[in-house]
Formats: sequence, C-alpha cells, structure tokens
Amino acid sequence: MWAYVVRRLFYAIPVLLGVTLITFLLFNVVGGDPARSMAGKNAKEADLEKIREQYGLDGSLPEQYGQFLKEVVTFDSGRSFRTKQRVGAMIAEGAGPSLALALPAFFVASLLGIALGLFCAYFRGSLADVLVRTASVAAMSISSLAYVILGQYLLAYRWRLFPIYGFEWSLVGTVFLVLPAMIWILLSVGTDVRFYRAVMLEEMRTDYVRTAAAKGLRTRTILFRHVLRNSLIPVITRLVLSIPFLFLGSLLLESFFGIPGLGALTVNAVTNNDWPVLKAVVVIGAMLYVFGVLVSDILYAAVDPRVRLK
Amino acid sequence: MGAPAAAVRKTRPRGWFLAVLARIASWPFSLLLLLLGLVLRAIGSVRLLWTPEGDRPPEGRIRRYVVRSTRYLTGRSRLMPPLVGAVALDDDGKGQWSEMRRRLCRDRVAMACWIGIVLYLYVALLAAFGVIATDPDRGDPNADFRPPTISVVPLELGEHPLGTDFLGREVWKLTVHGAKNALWIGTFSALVACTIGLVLGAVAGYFGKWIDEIIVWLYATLESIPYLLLMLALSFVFQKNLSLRDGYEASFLKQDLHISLGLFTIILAVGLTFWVGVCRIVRAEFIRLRDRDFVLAARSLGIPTHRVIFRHIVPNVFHLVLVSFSLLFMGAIKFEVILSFLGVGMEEGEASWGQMINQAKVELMRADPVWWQIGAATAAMFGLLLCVNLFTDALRDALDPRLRN
Repeated sequence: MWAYVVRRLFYAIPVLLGVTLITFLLFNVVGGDPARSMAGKNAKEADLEKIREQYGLDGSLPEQYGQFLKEVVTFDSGRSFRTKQRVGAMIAEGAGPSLALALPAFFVASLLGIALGLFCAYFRGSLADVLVRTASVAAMSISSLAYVILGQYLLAYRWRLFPIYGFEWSLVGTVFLVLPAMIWILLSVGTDVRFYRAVMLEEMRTDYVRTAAAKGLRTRTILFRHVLRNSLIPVITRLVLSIPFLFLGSLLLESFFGIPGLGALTVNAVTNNDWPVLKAVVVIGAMLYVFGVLVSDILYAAVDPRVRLK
Repeated sequence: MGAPAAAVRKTRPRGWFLAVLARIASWPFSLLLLLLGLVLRAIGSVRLLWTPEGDRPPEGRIRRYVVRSTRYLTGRSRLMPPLVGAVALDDDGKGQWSEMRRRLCRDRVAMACWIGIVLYLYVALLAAFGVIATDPDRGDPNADFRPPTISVVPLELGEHPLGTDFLGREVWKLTVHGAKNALWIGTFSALVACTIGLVLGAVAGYFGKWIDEIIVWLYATLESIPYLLLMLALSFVFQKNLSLRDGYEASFLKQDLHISLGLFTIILAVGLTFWVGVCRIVRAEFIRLRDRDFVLAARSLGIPTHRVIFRHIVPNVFHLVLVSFSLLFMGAIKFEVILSFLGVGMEEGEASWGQMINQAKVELMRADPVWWQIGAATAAMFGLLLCVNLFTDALRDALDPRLRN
C-alpha cells in the first residue's frame, strides 16, 4: 500500500504544478499589472516601481514564476498587500475558526443527509419520501445568500435567539457558532439528501438485496449491513472531497457572522484587492483537494475488499 | 418498442392538456427557431433547410424542427407547432429522443414546469425588447423605500406594486430585468461550459494518446482548485485588470449588445470553471463508444473524422450534456448572487437578483425594514429554479433507459 501512496503522491506533482501555473497565469499575466491594480489608476511610476520591488514583481515572468514556486514549496507566500502580515501566518490563524464552525456542522449535516437518504430510498414513493424530496428541491431553489441574510436578521437580530456576530475560543464562544452551523446544515442537507437517496436507491435495486429480502433477513440488517455498506464508495467520495471546503469554511457564513476563518479571509482579500492572500488560498485549496482524493482512494480499499491498491 | 408504443399513442397520455398548453405556449419559439434556421442557411452552415416535396426527414435536430415549423406555417401540417427541443410530441415515434419526449409529455409535473420556464423566457424577452418594464433605471429620489402597494383582494396594483428601492426605482421592474439577466447568465454560462466540455471531452476521448493526456491533465488541474475559489479568482482577475476593463467597455459586446461587464464576467467565470464536469462525462462516454461498430462503419466509409465525431458519436452522448446544461443553468443563477455579493459580479445599481438580495443586508437593519427587495428577488428566483430543478429531474428520468415502461 505504501508503494501505492508514494506513487500517487508522484502523480500529484504535475497536477500541483499545473495549479501553480494556472494561478500564476491568472494573477500575474491575465490580471494585468498587480502593482497597478494595487496602487490604483493614477499611481505615479515611482510608486509602482517601489511596489514591484517590494513584492518581487520586477523580474521577468519566468523569474516571477520561479519565485512563486519557491514560495509554494516553502509554504512562505510573502506578505499581504493590506495587512502586511505574513500570508502563511494569516492562513494558519484562519484554519482554526473555520474548522470550529465547519466540522460540527458538516458532521451533523452529513449524518442527517445519509439518514434521510436511506429513509427516503427505503420508503420510496411514500408520502414521507415525496415530502422530503419536495422540501429539498424547494430548499435548493433559494439563494444561499438569502438564507444567511434572512436567518441572521430573523433569528439573531429580530427575535434575539442567538448572538448576531462574533467569535471566541472558549466554551461560551460556542453560542456564536450555533446559528451559522444551523444555516450551514440547512444549506447542505437539501443537496445531500437527493444525492444519498439516489445512491441508496441504486443499491436497493440490485439483485443481492432482493435475495437478502427473499431469504427473510430483517429489514434492519438489509439496510445497514448490506445497502449502507455497499453504497459506501460514493458516500466516501463525497465526504472526503468536501474536506477542502471544510478548511476554507463558508465564505458567506464566516463573513456575515464575524468568524475570523479562511472564508472571511478570502472575502476580505477579494474586497481589498489583496491578491497574495487569494493566490495562497487557491493553491492551498488545491493541495487539500489532491490530498483528499488520495485519502478517498485509500479508504475505498479499506471499505471494499474488491478494491486493490496496486 | 414498436407495438406497445403504437398502442400508447392511440389513447391520450395522462396530462395531455398540459402538453397541449405547453405546445401553445412555445409557439413563438418555433418562429424564433425558424428565423435561426434561416440565418444558419443564409450563412451556409446548414445546406438543406426543408424538403417540402418529400417525406424523407432530414437528419439533425435543428433542421427537423425547422422543417416542422415551416410546414405548420405554410399550412402543410395540421399539427400544432412542436415544442422546441426537449418536449415536442414526436410524430415518427422512434429513437431515444422521441421516447424521451413522449415520456416527458406524460409527466404532468414536467409539463407544468416547462410552462413555467417558458413564461419566464417570455417575460425576459419582452423586457429585453422594451415591451414591458421599460426604463427600470429611472427612479424618483423622493420616493425611495416605498412599501409595496399591491393588494390581492380586491386586486389593485397601486402606485408602487412591489415597492421601490433606495433610488426610488420600481422593484417589480428590477425583478423583471433581474429575470432577464438571470436567464442570460444561466443560458450562456451553461452554453460556454457545455461547448468547451463537449469539444474537449470528445477530442480527448476519441483520439486518446497524448491529446487525451493533455486534456486530462488540464481538467484534473482545474478540478483540484475548489470551484468557488476558481470562479472567484477568474472573475476577480477579470474585473480588477484595468486595461481589460477598458478594453471590454470599448468592445462591441458592451457598445452594441449592451452586455454589462458584470454579466460578461459571471458568464466567463462560471463557464470556464464548470466545463470540467461536462468534459469528464463526455470523455468517458466517448471512450466507451469510439470502438463500437457504428463508428467503425462510419470510418470505413471514409467519412471525415470531424463528421464521425460530431454527427455519429455526439448525438449519442448529447443526452448527458443536456442534463449537465440544466444543472449548470441553475448553478450559474445561484453563483451570480454570491459573486455579486463579493463585488466581482453584477455591479451595484444593475438590475440583478444578486444585488437585490445583497442590498437587504443593510436595508433590513433600517427602522422600517425593507423586505420587499429580497422578497421579490428570492420569490422570482425560487419560481425559476424550482421549475428548472423539477424539469431536470423529469428529463433525467425520461432519459434513463432503465426506467422505460
């Protein structure tokens, strides 16, 4: 298995190189002169020179790309345009609050999604199934921004059930996370239920399920031992590939509820024209994704004996 | 399928009145398609437009529809004009597409949703041609934040049916023009994504070898960047580059077609981000199909490669692209809101659902909360997305061969 992991890590190299190349092309070539977009339209040439020197933008494009690669490899992405902090430190600081919101919310949402999916697939065509499906389609037809704005306005601002805004690293601080986590769950359960229902339904139509039912196994055994286990592969894919999104948090929720995570960091970077931060977040997101794909491939072999890692 | 299908067609399918309604509703679309056909013919990309003399159905989708609409318009057919694309009741009744259409027409929910989508399209078209909701940008600064005056019983519109916004503009006009922009964004970003995905996926899957490896590397790379970040980076870069911005303002897209920078950015960002999924599906399907007998037969007849790809294989994968198209359509409309909120989408003051929802962030905190903007935009979006969502489900079911009969 270790040989497999090492080989997969080698395969990841061209992809990660591609990510850095695309990010570099986007921000340093297509994006125009970064110094100018930072300093504004009417900046003097001398100021531009100074900014270029400061951020290493005075070299040729291959030189700049080399420098960018060096930054990526050493996890040192220079300094933010706006706050002048080191980007690496900003990202390390942001990961904690993002995870504090994302992990519990993701956990509950996934459990709820899988449970409802299994439920709907088993009772397919019944009133409960129709109701859950209708509700999830309806929930998906509303913009996530509307959920966040209305949720914050009604539950926190108007009815004062939750604090409006804030974050604190303590037990008391968890009250700040309840409302955003609830909105997160509401936002993701709709799509999750539909996905898991389709997966489970696929599995329930197979022959071995009919055989199991015919030989008189209990429904519970069929559902949890047979159907759930055999549908684990798509479930794991979906769960593991959400990992980068957990670290990146939710752009909307974090910026609305004042959680100083990576999502809020990204939003601030966009509004402040702070492209070193944005570049670093893109590259780190891609690394996490590549890592997630590797983990899910290893997990396949763990849950399904038919999968061999070679 | 032969005998049972014939038996089915003799009795009227369930929900036939909705199917008929849907046909009537899409009548002007047949006209538009006819125009499109004439234009295509004029520029020479379609050789044979209609065969008024013979019964031989010309091949290809667009042509066939154009033929039927023409026959209707010239009184050669007593049939109602067919629906464009997905849900025309077919009269020759063979093949997967007519099967799909027949199944869709029997699906009452799908028909109702189709009517809903068509209604949105009409509203958008009428607004685009300045027939309804003219001058959405004209506001009365003295009449800002007026609440809605519409009443249902008795039905009265009042002075400001859905209220006014911070510039005193009518919210109903903004909603209608927002619908227009949303449909533009949905259609064109899905079109961009599907076109890139289809072409690259087809090329990669058909030719294999190094072409395949390059394209796979490209989409593996793009796929590993979380989509929200990629979309954000694309639109960020495009909007913040001052020379690109100026270049766009001077281009014919802005000057002649009046496509705003925000609209163009969103279409570009969503299109360039989401072609990856389409490409992956199309490539896999091409690899499955490229060694089938019908492809070998076509190739051994000496049919040029591009024709083999686009005329012989693409029709067999097109149903997958169709489903992706409607998923992307919905996705794009939702991402417009997020991009506009982040300040890299539609600009402030433009008529867009995203901006209307976004403004509520501040406006709800006023002493008299302004709920009508976010309400109108959310309701309009809800209606459209619900219709597209349910229609996509029905489409997918209708295309699933396992659910036949």
